[in-house]
Amino acid sequence: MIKRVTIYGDSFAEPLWEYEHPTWYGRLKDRWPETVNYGKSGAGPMYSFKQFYQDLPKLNYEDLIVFVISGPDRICFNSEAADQMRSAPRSKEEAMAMNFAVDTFHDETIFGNWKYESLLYAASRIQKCKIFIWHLGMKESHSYIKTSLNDDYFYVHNESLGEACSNEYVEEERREDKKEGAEKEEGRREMREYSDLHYRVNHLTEMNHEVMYKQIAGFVDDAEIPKFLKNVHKGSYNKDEFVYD
Amino acid sequence: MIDIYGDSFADPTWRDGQRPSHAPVDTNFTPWYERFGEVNNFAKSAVGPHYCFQELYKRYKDYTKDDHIIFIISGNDRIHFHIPKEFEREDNYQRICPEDILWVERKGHTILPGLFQKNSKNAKIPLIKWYDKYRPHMDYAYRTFKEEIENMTEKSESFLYMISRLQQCKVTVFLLHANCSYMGDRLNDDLFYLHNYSLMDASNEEFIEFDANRFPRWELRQNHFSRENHDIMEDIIRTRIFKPFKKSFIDSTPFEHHEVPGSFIYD
Repeated sequence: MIKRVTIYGDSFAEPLWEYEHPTWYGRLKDRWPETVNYGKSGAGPMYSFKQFYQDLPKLNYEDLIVFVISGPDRICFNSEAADQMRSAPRSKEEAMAMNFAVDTFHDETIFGNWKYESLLYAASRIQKCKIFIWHLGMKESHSYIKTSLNDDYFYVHNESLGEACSNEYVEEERREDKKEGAEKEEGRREMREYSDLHYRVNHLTEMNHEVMYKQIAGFVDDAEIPKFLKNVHKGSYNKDEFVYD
Repeated sequence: MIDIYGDSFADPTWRDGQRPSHAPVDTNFTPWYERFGEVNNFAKSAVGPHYCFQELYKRYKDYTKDDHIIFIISGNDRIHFHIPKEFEREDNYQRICPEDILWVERKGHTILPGLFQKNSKNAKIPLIKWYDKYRPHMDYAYRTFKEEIENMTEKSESFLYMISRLQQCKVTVFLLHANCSYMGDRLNDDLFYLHNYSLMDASNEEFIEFDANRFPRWELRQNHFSRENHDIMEDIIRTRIFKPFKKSFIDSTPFEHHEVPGSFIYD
């Protein structure tokens, strides 16, 4: 029986806007009051795992871990200043040190997510806790396991949060992105989502917050795990910032 | 095919005389890694999992049920620091080994051990210049990735376990320090075997009247093991069943102790 929930992740999980409308993590807290949310905007898995490494030995069958594994390239520079994630270097010397760190740990960073998800899988076997994972993307660089080892203790959702966020837009808006051609499509999509004045809590509408909660509940209760809703959001844009034809 | 990754416990250059040896090593028997027919041996003295995984990443997706990976997870703190092109050397004796740089937690920065410094007979000028120029960068890199380095064994063994699941190949793991392991032998099965005993301890425990935490100044044994424990290594890999290493059978007299407790020479 699950007693505690611990959430790790980035802006898809950060509990800043909990009271604007019901959120997936708020719904989890309603059901499991011992819910702790470490989600932080801009955080990469490297940041999240600093906490997870400390928590790991204490986990047991009463724990549910919910992990948003974001981009492995989000390096948490200098552990003594964890809050300055992705900050610009303050000097040329610091920039050189950052480059040296990236060059030294280049492969560990590129393949970082595979090791992180492998450790989560091993943890689910050893600690007997339940682990639910959303990836930011489902490309190879994001996940090695994908959904191949899903079972009662370990679940990777087969839709990425990046896709879910994008697919919420009505089709006609997404179609406009495609007109730009494959090379520019992603950049235009990101720009459109960034410029959207219809603000979404954690990049998703209330309806998909509910879906996210139901996905986790489905995993825990051994019930159906619903898919994200598509075509449910229409953006509005300031024409000075973004031209939407 | 069998592929071997690891440090001096598997380094094939001890066998073929390429190693810049300080003392003659007993090579009158076949080391464990040459007893399995054709193998690819990527092991290299002094390296850590950081370097070994750079090798593994190149080919892990090619492994199938017909393959067997043997992986020695050595010290987390052996960082394969970046070497800019200007410091790359062809000459074996001047080539920089980035793992020679050590992080000292109580000092909070990296050090170049005295063994390699200017006045030492082991001094390598490129290594000294490289360290002088990049020392603050190394400290910064270490501090940035501190938790990742400290937990590298846990991540490494988990990823090796995952490779055995997804590629369906056999994986056999040895640890330089078993106390760094998270998995231990708890997930061992037909495809995955982790030998839950420190190779470092096994090597030291060969000596009669072993002086705890003291290591030979110059190694006289092939890959830090006597023939008897090369036999055990072979046996473990073939059977994938726990078998203890042989203890207390080597006279330590010819082995000069290292003057610094806790120092281990990986030359």
